[in-house]
Amino acid sequence: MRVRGLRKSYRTFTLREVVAVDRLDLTVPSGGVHAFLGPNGSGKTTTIRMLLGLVRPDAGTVHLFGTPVPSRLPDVVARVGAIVENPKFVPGFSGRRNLRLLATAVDVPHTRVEEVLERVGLRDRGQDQFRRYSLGMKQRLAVAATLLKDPDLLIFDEPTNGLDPAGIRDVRATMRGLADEGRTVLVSSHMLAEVEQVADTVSVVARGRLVAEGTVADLLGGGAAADVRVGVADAARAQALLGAAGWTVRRAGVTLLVGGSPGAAQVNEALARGGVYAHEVALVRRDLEAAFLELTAPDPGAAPAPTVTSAAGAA
Amino acid sequence: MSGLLRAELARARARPFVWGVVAAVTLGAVGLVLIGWWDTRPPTSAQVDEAHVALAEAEERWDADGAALVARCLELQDEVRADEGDGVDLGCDVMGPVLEQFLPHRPALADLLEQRLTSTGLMVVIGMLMTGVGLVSAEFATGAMSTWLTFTPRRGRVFVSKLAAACVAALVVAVVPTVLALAGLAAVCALHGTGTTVEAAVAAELAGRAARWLAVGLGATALGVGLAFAVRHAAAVTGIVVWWVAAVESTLALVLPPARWLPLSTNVRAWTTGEAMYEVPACVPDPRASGGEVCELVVHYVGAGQGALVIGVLVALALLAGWLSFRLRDVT
Repeated sequence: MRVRGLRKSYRTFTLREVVAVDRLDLTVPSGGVHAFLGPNGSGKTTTIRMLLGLVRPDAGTVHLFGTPVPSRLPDVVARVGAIVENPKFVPGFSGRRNLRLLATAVDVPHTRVEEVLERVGLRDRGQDQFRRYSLGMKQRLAVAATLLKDPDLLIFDEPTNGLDPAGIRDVRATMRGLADEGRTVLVSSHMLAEVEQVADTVSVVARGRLVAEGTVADLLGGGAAADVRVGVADAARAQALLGAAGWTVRRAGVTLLVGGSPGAAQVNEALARGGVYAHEVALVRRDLEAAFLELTAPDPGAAPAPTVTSAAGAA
Repeated sequence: MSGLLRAELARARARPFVWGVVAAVTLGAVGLVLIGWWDTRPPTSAQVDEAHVALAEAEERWDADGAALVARCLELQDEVRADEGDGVDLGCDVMGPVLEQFLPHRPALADLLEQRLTSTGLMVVIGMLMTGVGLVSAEFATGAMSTWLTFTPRRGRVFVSKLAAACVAALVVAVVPTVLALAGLAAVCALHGTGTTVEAAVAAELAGRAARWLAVGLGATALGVGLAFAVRHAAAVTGIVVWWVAAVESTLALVLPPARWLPLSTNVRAWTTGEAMYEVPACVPDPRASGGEVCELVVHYVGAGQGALVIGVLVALALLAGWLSFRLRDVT
């Protein structure tokens, strides 16, 4: 998937223009889970709707498998399975009947329905009415629906919204499993833990613009450097020494957190020179939540935040 | 395309709204049957007694004046025959009073069907319009349309399949109440002994008009589908319908009489009965009074073909608006 310069704006009732997506560039490599991350209202769902031809972009191009969409979306739609927000099924139909309905619409044999029900672990509950499904089961049925066409690219928009931890774990495992089969999974989310544990690559958007792109490791390491945690007996003296060396030092209980791009060795050396010996010196790895909040913080200025180029071939 | 249509039909069948409309129109049909039952019920003994009393009084008067009345009738008949030929029969030989004249009129099945056809047709058309509107607007309201389009992004196919499915569902809305009304009225007439025989010519004429009403219903369904695709909300479609009734069906006829060919009421009447008429005042300056006008009402006729054309154009415009809106607007 390759998106270039995508833009979408809306007019409010007062004719004020609201830009939902602003010159968005996005590249999703083939295979693996790609997280499309951003806070609520950052333009994720609008972008996905444009990818699927539901919303017409004001400007920009989208290519899926090298085919321009939405103009030639029907040519590639058989290779794409998608859930946009909460999927709608017929409440009075069973899960199986709902899937058969979709299979009929897209000319997929009904034997495939049993396969996908099995795939998401709903075969035993396939005869139950959709309205009696739990939220997690509904999401699994939605995933099953996306698999009907045996797609190469799966797009999930906030698939874990409202799920309990077990449901989130199931969806996450399903996504990982699909990616391990060689498919490409694009998952939008504002749930950071979900991304950190399952995604191979990440794109972060804020206010409709791409602010970072790359692997999870790139993202974690792409901003400010990690802090160094220091455990010493004489914290006051150590704080003075490290402060004099030009680093920012914060008390964190009985330890110190040293910021300002220090290395553990340099910190240890500075303490030793001052006659203070640490019983603990450790790098504190920044978590994705901190990186996410930093990247998507309000008023980032005109220039996009650091972008880390991602891997090769695109889906 | 056939798979898409089958899926749409299954979805339409699953919608409680469709069955709600079927139930509502069927309830109306049951009401018509009940009125038919009331109209055909046998006279009570009190009514029969009163009729006998009235008959006796009429026979007394007939004994006194009957011969003169018959003579006058025969004279009149001769005069008419002189102008119009010997085939004229004024019924002078059956002028005497009979009991049935003093009993409540009890229509036979043919009469009941004739009387109920228009009201049944109107109910069915409204139900079919609601079906078209409801099936499509619900898709937008619930977000099911976007789910559907992620599977089948060819909007042209989706539009046509939904239109076809709505028309098939609307046929159920039409057929169930109509068959029930027909069977119910026949049963009522049989029960009350008012005659269930319908002459072939009358039956054919009634069937023809019923078929024309069904065509109007299918047009209403397509109109509803087009409007629902165009504005996407049942409430907005209701607003358009109310505006049309207030502006075109009512006000336009008053403020612009020459445009009385436009209201759907005129054109539906023309299509279902073969002809409709309206009057347009034609005024000229009054030569006898300065500033005054002399007006006469000029009768205009709308034929079945013109009625069908106007209805068809309106339906086509609604479908075009719906298609363009669906094709060009975002689906959220």
